[in-house]
Amino acid sequence: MNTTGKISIISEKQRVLYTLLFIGTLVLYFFSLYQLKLEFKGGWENVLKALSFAKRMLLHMDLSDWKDVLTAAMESISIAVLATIISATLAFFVSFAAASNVSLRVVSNLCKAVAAVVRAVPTLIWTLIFVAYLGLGPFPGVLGLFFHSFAYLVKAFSQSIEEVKEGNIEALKATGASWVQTMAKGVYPPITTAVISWTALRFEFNLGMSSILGFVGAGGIGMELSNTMRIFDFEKAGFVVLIIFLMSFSVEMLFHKLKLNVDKCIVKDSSNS
Amino acid sequence: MKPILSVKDVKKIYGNGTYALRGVSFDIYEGEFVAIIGSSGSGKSTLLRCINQLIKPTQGSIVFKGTAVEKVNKCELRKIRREIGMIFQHYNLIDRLTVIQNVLHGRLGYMSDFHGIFDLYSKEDRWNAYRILERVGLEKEIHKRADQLSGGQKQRVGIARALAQNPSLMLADEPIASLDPVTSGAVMDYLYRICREDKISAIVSLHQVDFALKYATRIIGIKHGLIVFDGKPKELTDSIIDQIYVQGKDEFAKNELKLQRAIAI
Repeated sequence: MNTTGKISIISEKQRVLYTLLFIGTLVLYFFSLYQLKLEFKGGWENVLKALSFAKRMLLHMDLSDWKDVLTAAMESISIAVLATIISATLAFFVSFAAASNVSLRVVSNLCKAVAAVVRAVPTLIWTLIFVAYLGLGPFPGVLGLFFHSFAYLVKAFSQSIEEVKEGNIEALKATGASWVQTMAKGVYPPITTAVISWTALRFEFNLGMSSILGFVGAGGIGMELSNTMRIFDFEKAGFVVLIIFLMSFSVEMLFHKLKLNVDKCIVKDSSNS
Repeated sequence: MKPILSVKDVKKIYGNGTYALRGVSFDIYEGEFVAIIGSSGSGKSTLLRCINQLIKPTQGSIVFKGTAVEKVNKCELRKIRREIGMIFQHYNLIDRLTVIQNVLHGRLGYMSDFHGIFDLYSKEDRWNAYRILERVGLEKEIHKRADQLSGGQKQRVGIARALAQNPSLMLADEPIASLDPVTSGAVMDYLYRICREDKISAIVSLHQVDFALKYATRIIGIKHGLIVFDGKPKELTDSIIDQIYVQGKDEFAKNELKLQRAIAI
């Protein structure tokens, strides 16, 4: 064997693939740049203008409406809580029908297809639809959030169910356990942490979402933000943004402390099997 | 004497066209401890799973205590399954639950859905599960999570779960294939003793001929989905072992098996 020369540690195929991927990304980037005709208009003047807005929002924050803002914040949180609890509960039951390893193929495919279609429509669009039907207020917000988060959780939960070891199901069946008992005793225990973590993750997302739902008329703190921005009242808007930030950040910190982390539980599951 | 289990001309063809079983027939009588031997892929696992309908056979009849198991409805199938305990190579315990919870799963076949889901096991069942765990020497571990046990302990819990069903037939699918030789011996001792004491018939698939010779009252050899030997352990000769296991290529494996047999006898 020729011992001089270099030994490549990746195959020729991989090298070509990576090169193509890199070139493709570059092409996409410049195409989009060209398409939008972005340029640095206005120069430093605009940068300074933007900074002055930021200064007004942060340094001259207007707290006079704090009661309204906090009430609206509570409304946003409630919208997220309701939507998350309802969607997680329903998704939990539906996910057993959607998981291919414990359900009939027809049922599973149907559930997955419906969930995929629902998921393909963004939360804001769902909310817009319901606002149009039901009028302004938090209720269409809850419904809009519910639909997308239900479909998302059905996918997440049913994937966790599909990762459950075949042996668990086999063993329970062999004892004479019914389907429901097999689900409750053989499938539910290993997916518990995944279900809780996915729900927590989705709650964080729903909370973020619920604070901008007000822009399309679904109540909550987003409505306050949209109102103040519309009249260029950056002093008040600054306070609203601060509250939104505190809401999301504190929930994330809380879940972090509770170790409700999807990545972690997936790693743990795969190491078990 | 009527057989407890009667398997007649059972065939299984998988969806991909694999012939797992090509017509297998045998009868099992009360008190028998039958070892099924054969190389990997010979159809041992499929055969055991056909008996309790975890796999539906393509053809043939299986009669357990006078009932044709492939013909019954779901409700009756549960009643048949709860009388047939099953032990698995990979134990198949529910990792995150405690030892006693796993053992009590053996009672699910006797309970309503509601009672099963909410862990409403009767006082009697609980004490019974505890006594069974005493028999397999795990009474001190009842609240340990199943994934914290050693392999041998896990398989003893597997035996306990099957025993909790109060079975009249025990199916064991390579119960010691994932264990070291010493632990294997201990687990086989437990399994054998319990089946003897409780008069449970057993069908145990095994890789190791020496274990089959030590415990079995009867040995069935399977090759390519067909029974090639069915008789007393002492009737199992070297040439038959050759026939069951090796296709003339693997001289080393062949000699190894003969050596095992020589030591066992």
